[in-house]
Amino acid sequence: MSEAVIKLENVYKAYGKHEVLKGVNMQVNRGDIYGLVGRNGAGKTTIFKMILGLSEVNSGSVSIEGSTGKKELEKNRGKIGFLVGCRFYNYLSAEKNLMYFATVKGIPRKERKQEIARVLETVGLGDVKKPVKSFSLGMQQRLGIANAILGNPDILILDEPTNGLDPQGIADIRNLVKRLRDEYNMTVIVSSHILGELEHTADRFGIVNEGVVVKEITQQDLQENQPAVEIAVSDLEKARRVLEENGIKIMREVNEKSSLEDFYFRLVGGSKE
Amino acid sequence: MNRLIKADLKRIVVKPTVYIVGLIMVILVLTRTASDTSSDQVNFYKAFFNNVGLIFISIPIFLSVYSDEIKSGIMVSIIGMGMDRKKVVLSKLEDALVLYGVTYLLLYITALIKNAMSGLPVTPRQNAFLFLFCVFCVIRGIGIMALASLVLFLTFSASGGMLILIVAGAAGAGLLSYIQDNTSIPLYDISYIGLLDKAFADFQNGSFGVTLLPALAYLAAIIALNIITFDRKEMDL
Repeated sequence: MSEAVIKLENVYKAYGKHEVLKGVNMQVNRGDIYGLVGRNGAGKTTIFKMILGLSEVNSGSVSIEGSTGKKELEKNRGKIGFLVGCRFYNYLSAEKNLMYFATVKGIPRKERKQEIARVLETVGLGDVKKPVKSFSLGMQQRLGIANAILGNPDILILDEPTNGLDPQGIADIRNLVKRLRDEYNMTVIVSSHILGELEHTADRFGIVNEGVVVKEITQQDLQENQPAVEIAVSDLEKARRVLEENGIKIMREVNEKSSLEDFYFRLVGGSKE
Repeated sequence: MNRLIKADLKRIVVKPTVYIVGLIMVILVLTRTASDTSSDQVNFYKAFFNNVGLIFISIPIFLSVYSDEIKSGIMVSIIGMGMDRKKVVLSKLEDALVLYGVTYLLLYITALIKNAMSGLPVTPRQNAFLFLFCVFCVIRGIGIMALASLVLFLTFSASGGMLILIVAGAAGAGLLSYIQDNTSIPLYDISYIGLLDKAFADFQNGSFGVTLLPALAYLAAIIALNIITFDRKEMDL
C-alpha cells in the first residue's frame, strides 16, 4: 500500500462567511508527482497555506509524514521545500539570498557553499553574484526552485512554477521536476491552472473545484477513461456508409487517451473555449 | 532561533543605510560641543542620544529587521519552513536589541573619544552614568520597536509600524508630558518612557530605580501581545 506523505482529511476553512475549503480530502504518496489542478480561486493556494502552516484549519486535519500535532507538524515542515511566488531580498545577490536561507535551514556552515553550488547547478542558474532585482522572471523562478531544494527536502511544493515562462522555460521546469523526483527521490506537489502542462509532468492529480478536491486520478485513469479512436480511411464518405454496413478496410488506428483538460471539464463543467 | 538571528544580522550588515546613519551620528557627536563644562557636555550627549538619536537609529533598524522582511514576503517563507512563530517574533526583537546595543556602544565610545579630544574633565562617575543612560536608551528603543512590530503584525503593513515608531519615538514623551501637565491624569508618570526616566533618575541619585520593574513588565506584556498576535496571523501567499 502507498505511504501517505501528506494527507488532508475533511479540511474546512472559511474567512468570515466566505467558505474557501469545504471538506478537502487528499492524499499525496511518497514518490508522487502530484498535480493540483483547478481554476483560479478554486482553493489550491489555500490548500498549500494549510500544509505550510500559514493558515489555521477551522476543522479537519492536516498530516505531514503521519504527524498532526502542532509541534510535530512544525518539525516536519522542515522537510518541505517550496516555491510559492519569488520571495527574496532584492538588494542581495542570488548567492547571498541562498546563503541566508541555507543558514536559516540549519545547513552546517562548512557545507553551505557546496550545497548552494549543487542547487544552482541542478536548476541551471549562473551569474549568481548579481542582485535578484536584475533577474528575469525565468531566472527568479529557477532561483526559487533552487531555494526550495536547498538542503534536499523530502517534499517539494511548487505553486504555479511555470507562470510567466516561455515554452523553453516551461519544458525546462517540467524536466527538472521529473529529475528531482527520479534522482533525489522527492515527493512533488505542483499546482497549475494550465492543465495540458501538468498532464505532462504529474502522475497523480487532485482536481479542485469550489473548495473541494472533487476527484483524485492517475495517469492510468486518463488512459482508461473514454478512450477515443482515430481512424484514417481511404474515403470518408464511403467509410461512413460502409461502416454502417461493417465492410470497409481500416487503414490506420490510433488509440488516444483523453487529455487532463477533457477530463477536467467533464468533471467540473465549463469548456476549453 | 539563533540560526535566524545570525542569518538576519548577516544580511543587515551589508545594507549601506545602517552605516550611513551610524556615521552621521558619530560625526554629530564628534563635532558638537555644548559648553565648557563636563556636565553640560554629558547632558548634551544624553539629550542627543535620547531624542534625535533614538528616532534616527530606530528607523533603519525597523526598516532592516521588519520592513524588508514584510516587503519581500520572506517572513512567510520562514514560517513555511516550520519555524516556530514565537521564535520569529523573539528573534526579530533580538536582532533589534543587538543593533541598538552596537549603535549605542559606538556612540558611547565616540563620546569618550570626544571628551578626550576636547580635554573636558569628565569624571568616571559621569562616564558610568552615561553608559547606564545608553543602556536605558536601548531598553527604550526595544519598547518602541515592540510597539511598532505589534502594529506591523496586526496590519502586516510596514508603513503602519513605521508611523507608530516615529510617533512614539519622536513625540511620545512630549505628548504624554503635555497631557499630564494640562490634565490631572499622570499619563507620563505611568508610561513606559516615564517609568524608565524615573528609574534612571533614581539610579543617578544613588537609589535603586524600582520603576524599572514595571517598565520591564510593560515590555514583557507588549512582547507577549506580539507573540499572540503573530501566532494567530493568517499569512497570505
